[in-house]
Amino acid sequence: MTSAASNIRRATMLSAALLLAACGGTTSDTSTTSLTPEESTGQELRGQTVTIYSGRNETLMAPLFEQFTNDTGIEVEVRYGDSGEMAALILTEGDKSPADVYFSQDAGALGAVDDSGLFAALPDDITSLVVPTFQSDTGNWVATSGRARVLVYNQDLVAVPPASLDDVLDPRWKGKIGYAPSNASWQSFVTALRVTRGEAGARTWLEGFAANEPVPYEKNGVVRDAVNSGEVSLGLINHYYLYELIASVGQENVVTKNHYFKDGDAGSLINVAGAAVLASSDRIDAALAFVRYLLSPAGQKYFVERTFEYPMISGVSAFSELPTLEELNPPAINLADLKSLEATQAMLEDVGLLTR
Amino acid sequence: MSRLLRAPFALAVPALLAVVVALVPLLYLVDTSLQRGVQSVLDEIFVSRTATLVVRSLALTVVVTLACAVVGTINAWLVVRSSIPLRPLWLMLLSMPLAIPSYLSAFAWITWIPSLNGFWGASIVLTLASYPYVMLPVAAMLRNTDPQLDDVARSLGASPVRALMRVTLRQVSPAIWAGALLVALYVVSDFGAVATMRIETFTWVIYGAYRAGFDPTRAATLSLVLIAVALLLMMVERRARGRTAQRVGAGSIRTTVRRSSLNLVAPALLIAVSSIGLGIGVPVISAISWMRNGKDVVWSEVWSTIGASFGVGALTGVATVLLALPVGILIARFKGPLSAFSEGAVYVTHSLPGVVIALSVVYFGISLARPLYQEIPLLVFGQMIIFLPLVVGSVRTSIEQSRTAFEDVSRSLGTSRMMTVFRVTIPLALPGIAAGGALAVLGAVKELPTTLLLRPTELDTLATSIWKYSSVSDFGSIGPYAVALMLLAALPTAILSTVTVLKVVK
Amino acid sequence: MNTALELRGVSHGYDNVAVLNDVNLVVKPGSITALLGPSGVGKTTLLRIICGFETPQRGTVTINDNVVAHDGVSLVAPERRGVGLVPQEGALFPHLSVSDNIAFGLKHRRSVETRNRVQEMLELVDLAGNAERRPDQLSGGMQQRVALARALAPRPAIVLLDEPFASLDASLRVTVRTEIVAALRQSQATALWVTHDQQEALSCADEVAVLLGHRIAQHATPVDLYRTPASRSIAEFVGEAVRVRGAAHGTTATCALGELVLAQTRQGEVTIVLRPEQIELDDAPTAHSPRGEVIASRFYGHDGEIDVRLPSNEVVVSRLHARLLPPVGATVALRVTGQALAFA
Repeated sequence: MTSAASNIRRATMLSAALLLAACGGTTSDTSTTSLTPEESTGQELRGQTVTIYSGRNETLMAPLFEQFTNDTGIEVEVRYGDSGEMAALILTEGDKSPADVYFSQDAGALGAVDDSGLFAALPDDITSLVVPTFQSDTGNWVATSGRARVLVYNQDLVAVPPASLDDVLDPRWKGKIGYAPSNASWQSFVTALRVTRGEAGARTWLEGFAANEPVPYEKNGVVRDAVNSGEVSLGLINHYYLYELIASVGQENVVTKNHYFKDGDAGSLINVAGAAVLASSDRIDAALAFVRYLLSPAGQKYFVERTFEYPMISGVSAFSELPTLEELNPPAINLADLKSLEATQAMLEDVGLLTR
Repeated sequence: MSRLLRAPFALAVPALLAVVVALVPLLYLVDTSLQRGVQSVLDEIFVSRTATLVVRSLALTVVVTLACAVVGTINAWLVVRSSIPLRPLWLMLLSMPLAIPSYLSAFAWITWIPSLNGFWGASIVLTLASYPYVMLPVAAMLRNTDPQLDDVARSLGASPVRALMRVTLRQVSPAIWAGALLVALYVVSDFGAVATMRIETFTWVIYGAYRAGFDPTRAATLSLVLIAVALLLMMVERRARGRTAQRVGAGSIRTTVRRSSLNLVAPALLIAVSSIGLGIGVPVISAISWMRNGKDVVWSEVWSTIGASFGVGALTGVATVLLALPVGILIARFKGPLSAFSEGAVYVTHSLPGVVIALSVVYFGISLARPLYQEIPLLVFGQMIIFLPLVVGSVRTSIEQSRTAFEDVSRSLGTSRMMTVFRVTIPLALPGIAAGGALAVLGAVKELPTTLLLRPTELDTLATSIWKYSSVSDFGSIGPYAVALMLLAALPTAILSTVTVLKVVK
Repeated sequence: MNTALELRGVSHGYDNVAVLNDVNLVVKPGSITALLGPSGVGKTTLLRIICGFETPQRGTVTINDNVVAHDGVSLVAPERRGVGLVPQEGALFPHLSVSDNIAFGLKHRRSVETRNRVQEMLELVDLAGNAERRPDQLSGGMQQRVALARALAPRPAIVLLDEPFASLDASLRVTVRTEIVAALRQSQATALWVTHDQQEALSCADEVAVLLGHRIAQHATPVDLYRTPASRSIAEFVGEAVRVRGAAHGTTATCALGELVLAQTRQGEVTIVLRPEQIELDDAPTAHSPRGEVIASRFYGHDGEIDVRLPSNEVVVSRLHARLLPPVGATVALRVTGQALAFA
């Protein structure tokens, strides 16, 4: 949508609101927030506009938002950006933020905004949908989808992939592992490693990894392509990159497979995306309706089918080829602990894995 | 000589307004940092990692600035003094790297040669992206220096190279220093290229505070270090400029005598061809190749983003010129404490990364200009802060190159100081104004972080579209936007170099 | 109105270095006064003080009987002083046509009156027909004439010309100078003409003020200045000077060139100053005629000069008609005409 169109729409809405205010017609004002969540129905929220700050990418999320509008009649205005910078934006705007919903790619960013007390508490009907591991202790944000760390390997080159994270350090993989050093999920993985193994343990693993001369790539997708073309044998990325490749070039052209470590170690970390409602919002009901929609079967199916991610509610199952979350056996860590990314970057820099 | 002439009120007031605008980010940084108390600010800054990264940033800055000074000056010499044919065309092509955002060229390079990452890769990309900041002012100044001094040096037994080094370069050194300052401030503030090239510089820590630490206050505190670096660079430049011989009373402009010895032209030509080939060739070919394996392009979307970029760019250009003009005139013609302060204020925030500037505008805009928040005016306001120094520099150089005798005559003919500014100073500064405006348009079209944070919701520019598709590695979709961005930015670049060309070939 | 411009006790300096020291000067209405001085003596500073671009630290500047600056205070802004400035190299506004340049200082720039005045000025400097040309399409001499027309157009109290021909070719200089003087005379303007060229000052001005040693050393008509300079340094600065040692006895003096008649009464040891044209070859020498050996000869075309070494070992210069130049090595007899200057 162009800005001109949205500006015109905003102006129209503004004049409509002024007109209503002038007539004293509060009962018929559809933008009222006096309704409690229980009383509100999609019908009454129809025509409202929710402003979403999205740290998730437009090309992936825009169809979902469109689907939300079609299903609920609630319009959305979406501001896209990097999750961390969107968090900074909200923190700087404070209680004057125009945002109603913050939709983040990353649990750490949600935690930081939550720490400043800018989120509204989510009602039980939302928080009860998601297992406690995948939501905030405060009950102010919930995960909406998950992505697993995996080892991709080229089946033509590798008969038996390394069984555990430590087997990746075997000298026979020297120069044959691809990774994306600047990628946030990789850095989250290392952060999880620091949490599960402690600083010294994590450093030992990273030094072993560095000694195996891994090949750095710009992005996860490029790592996957390098594995598929045989440029390297193994790659440490997220699980869904494989399915994106299959969707785009067809299964017959893909010789790459995902390998899940399933050993409760950082190698099977689940990163989540999540959402929260801003306490300063004057359209909290519509905002809650949006979060509810993300966790509705329709919303969850979208993540499963379009982004190949793990759903967060029971009743919607993951993409059939994926192991279940239970089978994955992710490390037992609090997602809020993944906030210490900066210390991770320092350690990566130190062992020479961030830059040469 | 005009030391006793105080600036007219009507000039000082708008100049001070520009200073206030330029200082918005600094106010934000100080205000935000101090919220946690002075001690925590000091703790944040004085950790060993800060020192390591500042040193690395400065090392990169020194390497890139030196390389730009050499490449920029050689290219300037080639297009002004040598006898190669089609010099205006050369100048235009050599200016074109300005049309390519550093994040795009870095990306093109790293996808072409993945092993290029790190310090030297970043140095190459940043040098190729910013040598025109040295080349253009040097070319303009070289045009105004007397080539006969070269002859004198030769007749005294100096070799062509020695004459070039001892005589010509000495004369244009103020322009080299001025360009080098801009390059240095740019390198300090750059994030796109260093992030793509994966070299951890100081801007990484600042972006890290946002993206990994989710802590804008910490980012603000760390940004104060960049302000200090900017002050340091400005001091170095001012010292150096003070030591160089200023040009004395200009005579009428003589046609530059151009003669070139082959052993000077051949290496210069090699450098120029590499500058063009590597600076434009690599990113352009990459973008076109992305386009070729692209899927269906929604051309209507491409066109509307071109429109948005053009609109924002043009508004930024006009607004920045209007804001910069009084400061430029003040600095060039009414030297004194006020003009020195204005100059410092305008330049000092140029070392800050875009995201910090954007958040400073958010910080004040959300309270003080709520109706304009997330609307075009505040976006333009943010861009204006970034590009103000480029335009001020351009206006100021242009005015300084014209003789004060013009203004003296005007005053003696009964025209007041302020009317003289309008009737004489501004018309004389027109080339500088045009060049400055072009620089601002160019910058605004390429600028990403401020656009992302300040744009009206759902307004897509070429830069934001490239960002959108690059974060999902959708090269096919990036292609058309990248090509469109480079073509659109080529327009102001052409204007910029034409203004210089007119000076050079007239 | 008695004076167009009057400077009383004007002193000025930069960073405690005196540039002007107690300068006094009166320019009469309708006259052309040359301000003559070597480079770096403060001529330009004086000019800028008159214009109002600098304020004198001490002293009074009066234009058309109005005090415009006094003891460090500027009382009238440059644009209200009615001073027309013709800077070095003209400084025509490059962005304006010739006629727009001339009309720059006129009010109501689009009026018929203005158009007529511009036309009048163009005719005055003999440039009618060039109204629409751009400054860069004009020769250096034409640019200077336009600059004068521009300065004269608003009928200023005084026109200040700052080394107006410094950048012109020698051959062109005399022609342009004649044209400018004619235009100034025709418009009956008052002019202060700053120059370091004594020939220019002597030939163009009604009066010459010599600025030496940061002050006005002498103010006189060109003839008086040349014939009776007030000091040896003025004598040497204004025109070529030949010096010989001598002993004065009232109205005469004896020296290696014999006994000379002095312009002023002097006694004792003096330096005698003569102009080269005062020393001629004696075509009817006597035994007492001073003699010397020609050690150098310079041929200028219309005339020439020889250097003659006298028995006292002093060298004198004589200016001769070209056909009279003797060969180097010849011994010649000399004769002095007119009165000699003598300085202690």
